[in-house]
Amino acid sequence: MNFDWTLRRMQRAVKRQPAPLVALGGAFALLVLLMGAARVVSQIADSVLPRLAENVHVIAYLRDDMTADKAQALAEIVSRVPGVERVRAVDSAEALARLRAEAKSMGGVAEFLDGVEEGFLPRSLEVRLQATTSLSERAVALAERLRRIPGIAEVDAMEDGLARLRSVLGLLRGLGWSLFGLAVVAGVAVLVLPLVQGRQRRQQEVAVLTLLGETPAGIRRPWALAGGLSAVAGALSAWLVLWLAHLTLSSSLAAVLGSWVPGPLPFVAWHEMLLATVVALFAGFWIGQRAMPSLKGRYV
Amino acid sequence: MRPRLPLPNTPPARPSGLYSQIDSEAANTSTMMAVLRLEDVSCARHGRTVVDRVSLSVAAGQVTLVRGARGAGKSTLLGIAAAAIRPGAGSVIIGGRDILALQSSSLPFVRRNVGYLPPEPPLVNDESALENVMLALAVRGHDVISAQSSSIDSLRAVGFPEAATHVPVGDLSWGERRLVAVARAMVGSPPLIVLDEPAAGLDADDREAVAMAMGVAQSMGSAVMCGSADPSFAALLTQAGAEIVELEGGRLVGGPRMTVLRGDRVTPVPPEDGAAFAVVPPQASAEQDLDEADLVDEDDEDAWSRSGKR
Repeated sequence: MNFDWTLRRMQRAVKRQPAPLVALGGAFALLVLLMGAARVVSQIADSVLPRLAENVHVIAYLRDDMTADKAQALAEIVSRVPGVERVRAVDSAEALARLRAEAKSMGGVAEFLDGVEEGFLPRSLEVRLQATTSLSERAVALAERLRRIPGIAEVDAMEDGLARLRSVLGLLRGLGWSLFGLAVVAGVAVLVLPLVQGRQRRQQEVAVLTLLGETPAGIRRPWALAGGLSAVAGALSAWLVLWLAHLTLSSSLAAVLGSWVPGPLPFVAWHEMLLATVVALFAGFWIGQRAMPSLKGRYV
Repeated sequence: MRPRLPLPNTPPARPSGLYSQIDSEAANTSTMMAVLRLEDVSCARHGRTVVDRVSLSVAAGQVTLVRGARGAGKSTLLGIAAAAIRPGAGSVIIGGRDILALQSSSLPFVRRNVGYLPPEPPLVNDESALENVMLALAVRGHDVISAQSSSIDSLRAVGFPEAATHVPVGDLSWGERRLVAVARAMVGSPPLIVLDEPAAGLDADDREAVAMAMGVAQSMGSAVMCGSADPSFAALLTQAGAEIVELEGGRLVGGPRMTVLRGDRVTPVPPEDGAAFAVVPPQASAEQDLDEADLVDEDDEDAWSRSGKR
């Protein structure tokens, strides 16, 4: 079957049996949509996490007998612990000043601290951790280690803040896993739906073409072409949907999340879009040419 | 009943290639080249011998009718002749090549030179009658316009109703579907046409039209082999000069039984001589007369392109 006939057979296949091709295109569209959604979630997580992490500190209160030099030496040691971004030694005067500033910002109770002596508050180490998804777990683990160090009287791992952070991260993690699960389902649908539908619907045509002397390659070619083009059409329509969604929803999403700044369009890099579309084309070719009954035993 | 298409006034142009050698020689002599030769062909199915050491030959421009009771082995023999069934023993020589010696990848190139109507012909139900017939020419590499015109002629020739040309095959009656399958087997006058019960389920007019179409294919130089248990259809073909072979229990028991040696030519001789054909010494081997490109391997795409068939 020459190229003209291949195109004609492909057009007629699309017209007569659109279901397998629509399934193929739809499944690829879903896959790309999920990929795009996962990318958006990842961008939000990348943007939100450091801001959350800024407010998470592990504070180690030092015993009264710890001198400033000893405190500085301990800060050096703690700063070398993996995952620790910065350690700062805070003396009692600075701690009091901070407390006053905070009390003032909360509204007119700073006067109650006027009579507090300079050395009332203990010296402390303020440990800031690197922003990663396991931030809260690492904070708790670090607090445990710090409690065992001589010279440290008490450790505050900001359990309340960490609990909130854990819930946010859990939400993002759950969303990520849901998207992954959906992508797996979509991937299975990409493979199974068109294959099953094509095999059921193309029995007659394969029987006719093998009888008439068409080669296996000639039988597969129109369906491979239709499969590839359907997959690309599905992928491109999904990119369009994601693009439009980004245009219309990003500003409201940024307002809700507060700290999230939407990236410029396209939110997925051009080379990634091109790669995904080319992968869809070849996967569509592959699926299209296998979405037909077996040719085994037909050329014996 | 739908109105019939008028028969074409002039037969369609004969395709080039395999016919070119046949034309030049058959025009001057009564000698004909054997397009199909079966030599000692046997075939067993489920432990039962269905075809038993059958040898026969069908020449270009000849119609051979295979008769026999149900279970005589007609369909299996015709399937073997059409390269659709592989026999257990013997040789099946189409266009001078023993197809059993070919690789399976070459088999499609043999099949596209054979117009075959199996007992239950597969059709694409959601395609039109015309498109179903055109598929045979699509496989042979004809362009779309000429394929359409030849297919309409072929449908006309078998008496297919004009109004149903563009109707999906799934919506046609049983008889109309049969006519579509017959038209597909005969479209483009392939070198070998093998028809298994072409008149089954057809009314008298349709049977006559099919018999006439077979006559047209014969006059175009096709070798036609037809199996039928229908006495009235057999009578039509006999009147039109078809040779008759009789099968019983898988063996040839009557008619122009013959043995043709590889490379020989066969000539029809008067029936009173007791044989339908005489073996004549070869002028040249049959293999040399054939278009090599008709049987090229799929891998040899260049050879196929050179032949102008694709």
